[in-house]
Amino acid sequence: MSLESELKSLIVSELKLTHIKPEEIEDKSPLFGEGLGLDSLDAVEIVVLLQKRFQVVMKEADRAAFSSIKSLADYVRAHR
Amino acid sequence: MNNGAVGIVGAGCICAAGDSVEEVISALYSGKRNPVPPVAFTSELSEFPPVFEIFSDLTRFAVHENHSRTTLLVLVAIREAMLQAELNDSVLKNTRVGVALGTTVGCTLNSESFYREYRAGRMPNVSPITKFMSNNPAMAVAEIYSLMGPVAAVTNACSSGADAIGVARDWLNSNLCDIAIAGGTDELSRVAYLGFNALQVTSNEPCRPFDKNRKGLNLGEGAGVLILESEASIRRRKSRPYAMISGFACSCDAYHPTGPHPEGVGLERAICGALADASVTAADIAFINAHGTSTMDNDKVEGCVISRLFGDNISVVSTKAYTGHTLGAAGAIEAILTIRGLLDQKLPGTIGFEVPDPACKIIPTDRLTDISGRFALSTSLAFGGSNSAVVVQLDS
Amino acid sequence: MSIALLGIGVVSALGCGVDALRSGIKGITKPAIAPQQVQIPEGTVEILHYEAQVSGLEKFVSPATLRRMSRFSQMALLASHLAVKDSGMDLKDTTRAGIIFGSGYGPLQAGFSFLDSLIDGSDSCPSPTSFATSVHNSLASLVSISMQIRGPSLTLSAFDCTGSAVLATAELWLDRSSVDYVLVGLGEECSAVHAYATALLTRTEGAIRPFLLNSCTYVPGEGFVCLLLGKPNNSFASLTCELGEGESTVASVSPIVFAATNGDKKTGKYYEYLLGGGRQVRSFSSLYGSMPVGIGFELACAAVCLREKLLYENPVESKYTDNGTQDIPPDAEIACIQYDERGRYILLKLKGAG
Repeated sequence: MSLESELKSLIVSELKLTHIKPEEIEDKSPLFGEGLGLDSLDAVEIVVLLQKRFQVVMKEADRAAFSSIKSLADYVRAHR
Repeated sequence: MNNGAVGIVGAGCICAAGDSVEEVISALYSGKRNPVPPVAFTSELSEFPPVFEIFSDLTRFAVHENHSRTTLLVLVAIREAMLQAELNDSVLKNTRVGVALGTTVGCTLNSESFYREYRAGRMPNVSPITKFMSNNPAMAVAEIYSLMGPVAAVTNACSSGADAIGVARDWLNSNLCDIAIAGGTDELSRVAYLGFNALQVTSNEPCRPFDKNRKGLNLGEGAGVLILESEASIRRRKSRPYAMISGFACSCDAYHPTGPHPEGVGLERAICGALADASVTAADIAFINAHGTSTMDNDKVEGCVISRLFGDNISVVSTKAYTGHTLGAAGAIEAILTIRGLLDQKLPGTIGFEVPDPACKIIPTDRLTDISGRFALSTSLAFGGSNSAVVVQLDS
Repeated sequence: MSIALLGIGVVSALGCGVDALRSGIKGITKPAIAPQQVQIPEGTVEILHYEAQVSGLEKFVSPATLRRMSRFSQMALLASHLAVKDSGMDLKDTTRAGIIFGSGYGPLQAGFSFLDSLIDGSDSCPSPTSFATSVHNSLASLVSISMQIRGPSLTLSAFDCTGSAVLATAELWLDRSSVDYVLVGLGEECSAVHAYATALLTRTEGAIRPFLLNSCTYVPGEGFVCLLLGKPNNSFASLTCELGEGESTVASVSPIVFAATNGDKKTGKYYEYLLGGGRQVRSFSSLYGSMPVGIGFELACAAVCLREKLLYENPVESKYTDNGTQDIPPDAEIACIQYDERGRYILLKLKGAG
């Protein structure tokens, strides 16, 4: 499974996005606001998930990596 | 007294800055604080956000060995407040006394050791549960002092202490009781510590309210209590209030479970509501004791609302810089410090603040500052989007 | 001062909505009472609890909203929407609507979920969402967001005195016109830990027997009841609230009393003076379970009776009263009362509009 696919499955299951399937999320579509419509509470939940699953600690300054699945995957690859 | 104002006849406070109102004020005016990583519990983190912990020995205040730390803290504050109010057993026996106390930890069953044992199938003793059931702070206080008036713990998260004052004032004005013990209390809790850390709102350094480089809040523990009295009871007992709660309002953002509304619409409504309730205008307010948690979101939203309603030059202090965020106690401790600000006609500097943040619009005090006036405002913004504002007035 | 009862929403072991409550009161349906096998040092015991039946929330909120909600907050949100729907009202200026919620135990399960994430993960990565939902006022916050209620919000907790504090304060808000509507909510949730504690601390003698005042027949219940209250108007019922201690004079002279006795031995004795004397006494706690906030559910049952102009029969008979269903006039008055361990009470007088 690609890292992108793994992240999609993780986000769908941990954030309980019951109304969407992982494969329906596009790599580059926005996670917040438009697109998946996640919010700031989901953002901190994802930070915790990254640490638990990939031992990657995300810093406040790196929040730009949150913009899409692809940018999150790139961040994880760069930092693990 | 103004219509709806209730008298303040006693105050008591304990937090990291001191074990009494005088001690706390002295620390604030000396610009002293010492937040450090928690001592009462350990945690496995890579960095340890400092907290404002109380190291004084509280055991002598325990009436019952089953009392929680949260209950002990409020008993300390109540004792100080009752002494000041000259309330003794005989007065209490002949008066309807209500108890409204804010708390978060005090109404949460979060005995981690019990739950770990339970989950592991080791069938632990249920004494942590009976302890939880004996330590609703308001009910425990009512029981200890044999009070039969209305009683409630206010569990409104970070504005609980202020909301408890609002509730008590309503009870007094409606003649449900003659005197009310109103305030809040919360002990430091490892569970809350880790929870706030998980939300990424804690700072790994001492907090810097309204500062451009602020990184988040520091938790604290403590209790603050006001003894409030209705006008009729003041006349009857010939008691001597030295200040009044003359206005209160609360309003919801209805926006997000944890973050404030970006325009602070709920806070603005609460402040305007409290001013109208007290029959004063923004121009009458000598200073504001802000919620000022030192998080990016709170200070920006709060600062912008204050600037919008009062202009950029109103004196603003965040005393959380000295107490930490004491959660359920915060609104009450800050009401007490607001009263002292009016009585002393001065404010401490907001320690930790150094560099203004243009996004916050306002600049808090950075040194001991003289103020002038009879009215002041204390604001509280709660998790879940509830906003409360209290107007305090010197007795005329 | 009297206030108007505009609408009721109930989520309980009988199901969701006033119809489900009425069906249970009429004896057509039975409450869902679920057994749990609990391991204690002495062996395995069976603990019963009244299990709330939660369904239909998706009619009011999106799946995106539902995903973060604990079961308890679903109960609260559903009861809230049902109460407003039942009232038939459109809360136009919601800055003039307030919320007062109360729970004796609070959102216990959400707290345990947070501890689960701590134990299963580590100190550095427990679930922030679980922590946020474990805070007592998260229920009121969710309702305010979902229904855009932007007036004051308050959450209170005082075990058996919770109902007193919530309803008395709601009356005051309306009395001094700080709001035009108050959505009052009272509820509890059960959990496995609750069952464990019940197994060790309570020696229940079986099903709830509300009129066996000196025995423990406590069976934990869960659910959420919401009442939409407003200024006096021509709604179907008006409500007054009295707090006191000891014997209530008003209850003593009321021809119909609904007692929120719920099998709790510690409070049973305070209701004795109300039994007999030709008074019609009812208790419906065997339909919704034993809860610190029972008064809310008892009041909902009283409202159902007034709407139907029928005093329904006692689900569990009492030798002190006529137990059968009787007609009551449209302007009948029902006094609902709940005592706490120290003899403090709340008395709610519900009067039909006639």
